[in-house]
Amino acid sequence: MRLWIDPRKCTGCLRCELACSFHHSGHVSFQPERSSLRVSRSNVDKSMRIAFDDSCDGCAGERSPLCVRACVFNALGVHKGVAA
Amino acid sequence: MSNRPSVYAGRIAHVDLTSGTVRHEPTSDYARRWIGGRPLNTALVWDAAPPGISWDDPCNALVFGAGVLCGTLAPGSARVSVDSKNAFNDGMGSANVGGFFGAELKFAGFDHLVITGRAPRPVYLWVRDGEVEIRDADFLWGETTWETEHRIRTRLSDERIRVAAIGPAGENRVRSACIICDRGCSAGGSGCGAVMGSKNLKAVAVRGKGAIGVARAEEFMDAVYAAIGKVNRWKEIRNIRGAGFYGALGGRLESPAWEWGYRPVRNGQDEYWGKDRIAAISAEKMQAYRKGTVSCFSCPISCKPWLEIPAGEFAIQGEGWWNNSANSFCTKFDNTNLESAIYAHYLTNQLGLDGDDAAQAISWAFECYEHGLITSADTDGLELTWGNHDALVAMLNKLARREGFGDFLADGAVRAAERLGKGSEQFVIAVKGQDSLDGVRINKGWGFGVVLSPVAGRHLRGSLGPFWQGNENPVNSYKDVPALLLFGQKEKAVQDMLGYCSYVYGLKLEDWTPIAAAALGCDMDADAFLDVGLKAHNLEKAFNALHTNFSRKDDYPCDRYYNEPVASGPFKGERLDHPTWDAMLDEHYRLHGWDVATGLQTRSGLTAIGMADVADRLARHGRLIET
Repeated sequence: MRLWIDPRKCTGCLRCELACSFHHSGHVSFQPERSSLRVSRSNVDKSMRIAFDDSCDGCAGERSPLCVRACVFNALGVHKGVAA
Repeated sequence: MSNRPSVYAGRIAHVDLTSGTVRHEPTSDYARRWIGGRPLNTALVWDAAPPGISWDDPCNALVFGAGVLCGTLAPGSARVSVDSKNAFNDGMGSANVGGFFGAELKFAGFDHLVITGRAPRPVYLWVRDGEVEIRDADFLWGETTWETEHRIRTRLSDERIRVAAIGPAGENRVRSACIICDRGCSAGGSGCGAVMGSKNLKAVAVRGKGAIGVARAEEFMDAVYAAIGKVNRWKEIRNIRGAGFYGALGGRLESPAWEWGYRPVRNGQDEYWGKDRIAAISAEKMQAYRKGTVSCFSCPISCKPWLEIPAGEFAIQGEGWWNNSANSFCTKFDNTNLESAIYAHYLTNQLGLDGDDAAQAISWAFECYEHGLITSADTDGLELTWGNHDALVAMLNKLARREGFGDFLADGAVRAAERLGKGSEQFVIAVKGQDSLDGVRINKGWGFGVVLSPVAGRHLRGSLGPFWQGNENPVNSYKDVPALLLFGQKEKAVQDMLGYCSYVYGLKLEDWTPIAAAALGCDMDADAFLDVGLKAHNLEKAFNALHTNFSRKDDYPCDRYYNEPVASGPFKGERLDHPTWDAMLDEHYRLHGWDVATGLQTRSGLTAIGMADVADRLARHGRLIET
């Protein structure tokens, strides 16, 4: 499974970070510090940057990636038809 | 015993800036009764601030409190309440701000901060990892709120630090000063920025790496995603995502909101602005400046436009624009220059001025100028004529720095009129001494809520819910207003307790309370939360009883709204009348269990809702009716 990112759609709400941390906590808590992805926002031109680090495990054990589910702005998604 | 994180961070920090000491208290001391957010803040100020002192006395408490749901995936649950004594009238002061500060505060280990005392020199608070440090702020004093955030992040080498800051306005104890978070989110009203400045407190910087949990996690997530589903099915959601609130709803030319009233046209001379003027500042006009939208923490709406004016005298960029912006910088001054208004909005963010309150004092001055009560000799050469946006912008800068005529206005229109005399009092639009944004002649329920609000002159104590999106009565109807307002007051208290935003459309209270119950691990339903909301509203009222001499006489709007009908538009001719207002007061007081003659609370009324201790304290000060 591979994720695509479209930062142009991102509004900086950080729901993806919360959802990711919820996964890593074993469905217990929210903790952006523990998220595998980090959203940064420029104060100069509002542009967003979304970056994943190595701790992303593709939401192993979840039905689908929680970050994708959490995003209502279509800034994240799963590539279809790509082998895991 | 479980070590699972709770939806509470768990701590209240009490910071004494005089002695430079910090002590912690468990949030549970207060949460059992008040749950959290604004109601808990009110209780903290009720306990901390002695009656009889001025708002800028070091003994006044400035309290920040995150809503209970801050830090979770609950939609749009980012709100922070800021409570203190009101800088306009020494009574209840309260403001509410979004952005990211509240969530970060909880991740840093705190639900509430209670700040008392006065630092001997400018300081800022550095809050992280369960600790609060008081640090020197000489390198920040005098700076705008934007520069303050930048300097703190640079000095502490962390771009994820969230900052609540005052600008020059708060430093100068301008009554309309606010506290700015994230550059575009404002804790405005009640002069909370001035209170913060009076303590020599420049900013609160927060960085949180901890966790916030929920008691029944799977149930919580099910309820959250059920709510997200409703939001996604709300008919306007596709428009608002991408255009923001004003772009999709409030600012569109055909929006009925332009006609519903509460628009302060030329300092309240009218409540309708005319289609040609509206067109100059409408959503359609704003499109050219909008580069997308940005969200607050965990928000699925994204109501805030990011606006850029790339060149010219009003070149600026920033986030946010709402109906209040159109009122405060356009309709109130007959200003059809949209670029100047956008510039004014972001300027007030930088200066740390509440747009509504600052504009209200200035528009009083414009009307005085119109009637020749002041001249350009008084106003440092500025011509305060309707539509003169250059004068408006110049006045905002003067106001924030108490320069020249700005100093004359810096304590609000009520005090300025007392000094000026010459009949200028008739042009003051204020409630309980606080400059007040809203027109109240058309939308009767909205206006009643504004005047009855314990936090003087604000439409965020019950006006919004029942009277913005409407009920089945016509907008200018008096029908059911007292009862609907009572419900709105309780509901707003629940909203502020939980910390969700008014712009999360598509949801009702019954969608929120299952989210809250699962987070808290309790079985409270909507009615149970509303019961706490009713207590919270009564505590704010009691605070006013203790700290001011407000009574029934202070629950009336200014004379203009009785004497001068709406001058134009679909509701031309609307005005208030005393007998109907009196009848509404009688009914509203009865519904609340308050004394009809005085408007004060009664022992039986407070006891019936479990507030006998509050009744006792009021009685000791002679501010309770013993029936």
